[in-house]
Amino acid sequence: MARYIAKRLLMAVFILWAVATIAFCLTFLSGDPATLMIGDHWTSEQIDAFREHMGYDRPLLVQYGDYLSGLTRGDLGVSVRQQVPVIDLIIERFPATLELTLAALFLIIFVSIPIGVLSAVRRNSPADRIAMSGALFAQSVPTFWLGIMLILVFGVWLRWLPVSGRGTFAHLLLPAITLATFSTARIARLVRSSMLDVLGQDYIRTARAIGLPNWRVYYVHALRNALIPVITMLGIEIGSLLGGALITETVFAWPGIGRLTLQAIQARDLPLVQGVITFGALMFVVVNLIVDLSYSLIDPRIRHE
Amino acid sequence: MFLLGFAGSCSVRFVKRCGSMRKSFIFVVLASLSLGCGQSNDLTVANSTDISTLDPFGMFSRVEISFADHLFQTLTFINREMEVEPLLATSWERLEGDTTWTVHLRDGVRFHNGEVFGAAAVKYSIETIYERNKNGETVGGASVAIPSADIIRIEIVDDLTVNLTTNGPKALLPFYMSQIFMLPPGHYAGKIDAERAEQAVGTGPYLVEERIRDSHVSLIANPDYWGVAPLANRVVFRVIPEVSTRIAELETGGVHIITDLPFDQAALLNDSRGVHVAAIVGGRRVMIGITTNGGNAALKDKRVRQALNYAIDYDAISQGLFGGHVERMSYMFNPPFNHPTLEAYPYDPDRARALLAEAGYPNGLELDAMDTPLGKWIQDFELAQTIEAHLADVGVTLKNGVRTYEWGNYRSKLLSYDLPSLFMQGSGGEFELLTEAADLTITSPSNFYRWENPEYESLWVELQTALDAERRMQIGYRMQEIVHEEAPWIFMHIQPDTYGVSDRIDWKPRPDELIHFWNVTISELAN
Repeated sequence: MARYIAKRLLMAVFILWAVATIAFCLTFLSGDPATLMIGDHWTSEQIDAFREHMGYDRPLLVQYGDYLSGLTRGDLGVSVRQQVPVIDLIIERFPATLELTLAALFLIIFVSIPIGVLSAVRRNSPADRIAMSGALFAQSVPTFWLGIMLILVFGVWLRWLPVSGRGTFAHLLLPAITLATFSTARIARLVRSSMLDVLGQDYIRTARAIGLPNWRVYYVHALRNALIPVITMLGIEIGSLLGGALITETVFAWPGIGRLTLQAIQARDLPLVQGVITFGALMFVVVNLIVDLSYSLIDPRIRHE
Repeated sequence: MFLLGFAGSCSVRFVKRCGSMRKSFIFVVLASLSLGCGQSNDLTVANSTDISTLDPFGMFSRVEISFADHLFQTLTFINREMEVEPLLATSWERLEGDTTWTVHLRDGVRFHNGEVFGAAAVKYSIETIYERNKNGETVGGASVAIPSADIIRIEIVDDLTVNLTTNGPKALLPFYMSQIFMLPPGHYAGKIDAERAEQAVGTGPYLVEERIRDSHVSLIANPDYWGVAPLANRVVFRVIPEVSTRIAELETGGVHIITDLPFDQAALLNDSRGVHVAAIVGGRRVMIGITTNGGNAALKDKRVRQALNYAIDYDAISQGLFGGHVERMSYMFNPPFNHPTLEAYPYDPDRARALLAEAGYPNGLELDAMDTPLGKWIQDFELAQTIEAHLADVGVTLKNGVRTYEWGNYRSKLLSYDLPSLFMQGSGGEFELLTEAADLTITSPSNFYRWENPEYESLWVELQTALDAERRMQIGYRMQEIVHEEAPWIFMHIQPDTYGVSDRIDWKPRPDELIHFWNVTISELAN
């Protein structure tokens, strides 16, 4: 187990290095970073002075080395536009993204799993057909459209919920529903197929044969065994959600990591762009590492050798 | 794991149990939540972008400068008519020699931290911004004023008088003074970037109350303000990037002004109750630049360049791309320097063909390409494509068609003059003659057209030192006549600025995109 963890940690470091390197290279792919970041009316002397100030006049390898050594110390540089350390900006936005992620996760789990189980247990029944058609629809609906429709219905027409922003619990509802919809549908379909697979196994037949009640068969024996692919998928979902939900946060003016990413790109704030990309990768790698390690807890047959 | 198991165990039971009780529960929850909505009594503007810093010299965008104007003040102020008026300076006069100005400062002004405003603050503020500019640090909205004003000495005469000396005569120094915010040396001296970015201390009518990055900044009226107390006690700058959400907030009373309203949405919003659309011709010119020298030899001939202008059916473009809201540009300088009688090039394809024939191209002309950035100016790519089609109608074709670039790469192409025969170009945003006129001088780095005209150059030399306002205006008019005749670009339009505004407030847009709240009132909405 320890060896497995060490191996995974090494791989995580490698992935982070690769992402950080790509983020660094991207800075130079879209033209001269100094001219990208400056205002429309700067003179060439001002541009040169700015280039020197930012250190873009140094050899590329030196810049790369400084960038990597900064990363190892948790130093992601300083935002050009906001003039504060990138890491501070990320830490400041993270609670909003975490709040939205947890709310969405709550909805995903408590909606998708019951629907998936129901569909599997009552396979081909009208309830199954309605649930799976609904899931298909929810997966097909573009997030931005759904968000705008929810705003229109609950914010503008009914005036029940705030249109945008972050503050009260009411502000959280619409973005959480928007964010959760696609994943809920995907997980519900996955739970259904995974449950169907498990329900055909010998040990389920045995469980029924020894007279266990249905709920015990479904929730103790079947669901637990059906959860492995679901947890893998949830890990991917959480990893990407923690990296920032760009569209949902934008539609609802939610001040999280996703907005920070978009803001960084729009303002051509390259140190910030590099920072949020690296942070997103870090979240993804950490969550998936935890997911991998949790397999053995869910299914004792799995051992990391 | 626990969550997953619990969620699973809820599934079948949940659907069986929930009946009418569920409906009542949902109603109660929503009713209680809806308390969080409703109309706000703060004066709120929703922008698509955030206030990225509280350092006034780090503020670039019009949103940021609008915000800064509530907290910080300048020696002079540009009013709604785009004229210079006194603010922290009460008067100014030019001394003998034309390069030194005496500026008299307002008495009884204090900064938010209690420091007294005076000559020392002026000296500190101007020296600081020059120092930062020299070091390559961002200097925000003053990035144009700093090199243009070229102030080389600041002499304190007494507490309320300073002498500013410029490198050569600078007739527009009062304008440049409107771009440099005054800062209290006691607060800002020795502060590092990160500290300056977090605290705003100026002389303005508002103080920062709360700042949540990427969400909002709220300002509260400054109780010790030296001038007339602002009408609204609290103003909020919100960030709502998505236009549909901004509109929804406006319609539900959450905000009172929304910016960057697209043309197609403006028509819909006008039908909504309690809100209206406010539009104004802005200050940003958009044109198709022509490489008049060093490129295709045909483009050296002004008749060919005029033909390109006559070939464009601008009314069709305006209807097709801008909902009829935009008119073709006839003048070149922003108000109040715009030429009053020049007329835009009409659509006259026959005349275009005749001019081409006269210039030696009776069978048309093939140019290399037209370059455009993607998304920098409103409908830029679509505009370029349409123009390509209109030019083809009179026999001017593009061998490589329209080529698009990401803005960073396009900007690099502009700055290195790596441009084809035709290229999309936008400029302006200033309402100051000298900076605008400079763009077409042969030594200007912004003369991407490499256009040269001896009369224009001599007028430019005269403009830099001309003191008489009427003469300056006449020079500006003549320069525009020359540009109109010589056509170094295909005239397009001046981008309009469109806002959604609540009927509850009495506010009108300014041509320079700045939004000021201190003299705006908010009324109860009559239902």
